[in-house]
Amino acid sequence: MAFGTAGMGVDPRVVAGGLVDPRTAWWRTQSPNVILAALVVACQVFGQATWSGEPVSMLLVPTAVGAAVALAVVNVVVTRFGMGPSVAAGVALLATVVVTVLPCLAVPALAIDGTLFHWMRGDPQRMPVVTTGAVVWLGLAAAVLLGARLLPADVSGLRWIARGESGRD
Amino acid sequence: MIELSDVTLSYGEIDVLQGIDLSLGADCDVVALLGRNGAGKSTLLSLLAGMTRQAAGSVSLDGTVLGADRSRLRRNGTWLPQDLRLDPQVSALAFVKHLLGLRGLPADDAAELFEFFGLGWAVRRPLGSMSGGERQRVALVYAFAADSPLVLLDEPTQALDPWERLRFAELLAERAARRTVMYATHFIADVEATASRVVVLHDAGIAFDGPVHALSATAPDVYVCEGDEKIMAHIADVAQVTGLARLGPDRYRARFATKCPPDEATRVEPTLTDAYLVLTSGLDR
Repeated sequence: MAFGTAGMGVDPRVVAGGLVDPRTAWWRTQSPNVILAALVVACQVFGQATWSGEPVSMLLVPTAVGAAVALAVVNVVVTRFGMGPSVAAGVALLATVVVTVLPCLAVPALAIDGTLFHWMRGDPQRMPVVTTGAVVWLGLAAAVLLGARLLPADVSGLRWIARGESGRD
Repeated sequence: MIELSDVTLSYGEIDVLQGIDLSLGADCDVVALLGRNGAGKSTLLSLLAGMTRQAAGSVSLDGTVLGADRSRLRRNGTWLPQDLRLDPQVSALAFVKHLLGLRGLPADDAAELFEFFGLGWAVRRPLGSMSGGERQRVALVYAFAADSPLVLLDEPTQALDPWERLRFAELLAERAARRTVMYATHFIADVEATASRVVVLHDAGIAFDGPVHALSATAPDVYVCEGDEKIMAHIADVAQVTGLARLGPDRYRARFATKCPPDEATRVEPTLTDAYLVLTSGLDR
């Protein structure tokens, strides 16, 4: 999901010269992958809900939040810093672990699945579908996306584009 | 018209451009940009294309000093970077149409330009099945189909054979009547045939900016001399060698510029390559 990966995709230097900001153009060029990711998430959620008997919403919200955060991270890593797909995948995996697993172990207020957090401690109570943690992580991802888009505001501030340094692994 | 005034641009601690003063676009010109590897040619082109910003100095377009927003520069020019990466699965026509679409332009001229570059037969072929020279020509179709007042080309002829370079020169002659074209190149012999103005970058600054014939006129006296390795070593010490050929065992012919030629040397007419090499050698012999 990087620009010009292994000779694939359109060179970001030409995309940027085409009056389109590559940071936002990425969403359009990667739309097939984004849609595919959404389908995988949906299949996983509905499959789990069917087999476990859990309400779809209880599984859908935390999974969707995790996926949204991962996509935001990939966008920022690739379009703001010009990294290749391996780095993007690694950072996205790390961010997803931080968002989904760590709060359940250490910081309950930031857990995106409150019910799971309690069940892991043998407490059968259910929590609201949308937790404070889910809102915080989504807000944080949106803020990072916005920051990466606005700082710098103009493409000419992205040094990796002019120097043709996008990762191509 | 773009004007650079006392522009400095650094990558880390390395000053790539320093104190650059340049004016471009007042006339419809073909401007050749020369310089050694790493001289800052690509950086200068990306600055003019609005893809990067200077650390100091000012850049103005049509009299307006530009701030951090360089979108006007990007609208004003079409930049074709070196080693352009293309999607190998996309056809040549789809690629050009896509890039023109990003600029909000129709692809009306594309068919004519494909024909001009001898690619009429290949418009539906995927870029991955084309040779390097053919892909380079597809990129040139985009650059000229965009029809912007300024076209910036970074080593556009590097993958082209002499016939394609000739075709490129024809295109420049035809299209430059309506716009300014600046292109970086290492083919100095082509410059005389294609460019009206030449800018030479050296030591992060502009070493020469003027008509091509004026650069030729800066050439010092040039000589040729044949001899063995010992004579060649002496010439290398006292002159700037601009050409060297091996004629046989321990027999060489050197072409060199110097103020103090050896007795056996014959004076010859200097070329643009001689002038360029002496200018960028940093030597005063």
